[in-house]
Amino acid sequence: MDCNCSNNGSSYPENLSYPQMTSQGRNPICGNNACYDELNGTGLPLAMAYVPWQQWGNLFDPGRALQVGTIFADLDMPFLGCKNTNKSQTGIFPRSTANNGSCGCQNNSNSCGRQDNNSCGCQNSGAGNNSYAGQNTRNSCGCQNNGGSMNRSGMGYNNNFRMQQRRNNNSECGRRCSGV
Amino acid sequence: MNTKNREQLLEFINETSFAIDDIILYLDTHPCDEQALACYQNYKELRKKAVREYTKCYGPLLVEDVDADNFWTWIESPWPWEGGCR
Repeated sequence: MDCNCSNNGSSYPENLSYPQMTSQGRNPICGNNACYDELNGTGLPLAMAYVPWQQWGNLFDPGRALQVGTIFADLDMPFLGCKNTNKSQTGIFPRSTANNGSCGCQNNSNSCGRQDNNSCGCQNSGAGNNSYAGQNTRNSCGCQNNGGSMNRSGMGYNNNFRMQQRRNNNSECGRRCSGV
Repeated sequence: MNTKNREQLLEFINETSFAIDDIILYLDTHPCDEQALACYQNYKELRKKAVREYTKCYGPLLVEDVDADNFWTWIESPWPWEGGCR
């Protein structure tokens, strides 16, 4: 669950730019170990990481791709440290577009109808909608496990099990996601 | 393709080469994705055509592109440190 959030900036050289601090001098999302504290007591197993399955589409043209470093617009997530993070009313895992770049990730909006593209463990791309158990329904093929076991209901394992069932029921995705 | 000058042609080759590289990474994990396969094929053809055009007009980009029938053309065109890749 390392999200680069334990770094409060104090160990960085002053002449370099690193995660922005609030006026209180701490990172807005990571200060006082908020990333970790708010995950305690949720029943989450330690050291579990989830990688959504990439879907085809949303391509850059080749020229743009070469500039950006990827042809997939969904993977164009420049590292921003903890810049531009916000603590929303629904918790520390907001789904809003204002959350770009949190914890070294970028929380893309669902412009392409896909899951938010969070590549670090400290963001839950579904928690912001307050529909914990229902998050699985947003998975396009039932194999993108970036919501089920991250909810706050403590039902992580059950959700994992359900997702496994869905995998089995979907031959294409079942095969693809055997390594998830 | 014929309307591109040398620099534009090389740029196009670089762009399509990168596109292919990235699509290859996707295909490594999505080997049956028909759209990705079609996209790969499309860019591969475009690149191949461009490389052929470049080789014909400006000399070989890769040593295996050298047509060694009567002259070793690999040494003809400028080397990278001579501005050959700009």
